[in-house]
Amino acid sequence: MTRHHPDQAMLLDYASGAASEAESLLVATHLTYCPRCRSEVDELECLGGTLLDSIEPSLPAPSSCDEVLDRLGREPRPTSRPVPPQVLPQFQGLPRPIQRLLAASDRVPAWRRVMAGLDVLDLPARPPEGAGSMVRLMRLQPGVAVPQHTHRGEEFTLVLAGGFSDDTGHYQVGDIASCDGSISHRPAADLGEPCVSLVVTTGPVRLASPIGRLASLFVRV
Amino acid sequence: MCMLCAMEASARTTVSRRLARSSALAHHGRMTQQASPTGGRVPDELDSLIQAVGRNQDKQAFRRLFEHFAPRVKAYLIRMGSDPAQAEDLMQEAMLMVWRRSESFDPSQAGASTWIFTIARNKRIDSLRRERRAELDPEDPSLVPAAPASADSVISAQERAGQLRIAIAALPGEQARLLQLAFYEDKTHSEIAADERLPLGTVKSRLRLALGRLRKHVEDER
Ligand SMILES: [Zn+2]
Repeated sequence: MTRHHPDQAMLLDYASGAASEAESLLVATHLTYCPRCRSEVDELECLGGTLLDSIEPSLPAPSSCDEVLDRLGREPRPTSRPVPPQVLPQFQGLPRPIQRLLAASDRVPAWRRVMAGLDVLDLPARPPEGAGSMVRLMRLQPGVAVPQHTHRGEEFTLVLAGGFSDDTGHYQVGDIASCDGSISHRPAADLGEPCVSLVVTTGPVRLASPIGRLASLFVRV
Repeated sequence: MCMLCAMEASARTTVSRRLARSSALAHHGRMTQQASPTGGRVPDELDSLIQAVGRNQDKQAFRRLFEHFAPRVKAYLIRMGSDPAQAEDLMQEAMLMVWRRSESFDPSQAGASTWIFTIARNKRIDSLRRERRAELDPEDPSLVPAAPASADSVISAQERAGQLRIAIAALPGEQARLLQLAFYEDKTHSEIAADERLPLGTVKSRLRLALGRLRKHVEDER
């Protein structure tokens, strides 16, 4: 059971459609793991439907329905099942919102080494506005820690496998850790299995102690 | 699936579901009389129309759905910033999607209006082409299922919508307006805050207050 959820504002942006692609990825992935937030989003969408009911209607063109029926006449029977995304074997355990993004990419996504025990994989999602924003997967080997750093914007880390701890708490599969400029942290993977997480950052990261190689983590290449 | 709907679904095979559903419908019947200011069709009928399209490709049913929803979807798209010609095109696209997806419509999960709202919302995001939208996949093997709920707490998606309508009408004007902004102006919290010249924290807390009131109202009704 997940214990760390996105805030209600983010769920509302997801339900209303205002969320950026990166934020929708974060929320959709969390929802995969979290029945509580699924229920919350369903209620917010129900609110959207209720507001749709009470909207001042705007009349369609007179021939509108005929045009649609005409186009339907040329269509095969409705089919509705979503097709599972096709991804490389190493990505098969990931939640489908991330798999869909990987499958939509025109280049083959690959892990790259940042430092011993830390690899990242850039995802082709359009990140939120702002220089230094990014969307990526991060893999920490058991017991490895990311050097102490802070953020100019916000950073959201959603655990996909394993777990990690920092000054703010312990995070397991499905949990979202969020950080802003007020927090300097040093996330460290649990012992046992590697920790894989989805990381969405809305601003550049500032290292507490500059380490040249690590800078590559935070600069889009 | 939402908790309420999960309850509904988990009770699907039991006799108590039928009982719960019929009492929910009776309750709902009272609701719609007070709370259908648009003079539209009752939600139960709209649900059946979508099912008729899904099961039998019923074009008459589709026409009636179109009559009810097309003007609302078009108005929604205009509110979200489309010009009338674009809104007409997009609305037609959305209604095509209603036809294509009708087979997967499950009224125990979401009522007609909610379902069509999500289709129109996603159609609009697709049309912008600047962004895609990640969606939850209910068939994802990674999905953590909700805990089953007891059958006596079952409430239908329709009943919930009816309660919500009343709860929205009872909200203070400022809170109702912020909700409208959030859903119908394509604005994130930060953008609302900038436009209204309010601190982000204030916008968040007012929205939270509004949503809290809605939830409390719906829960008190149970
Ligand atoms: Zn959650």
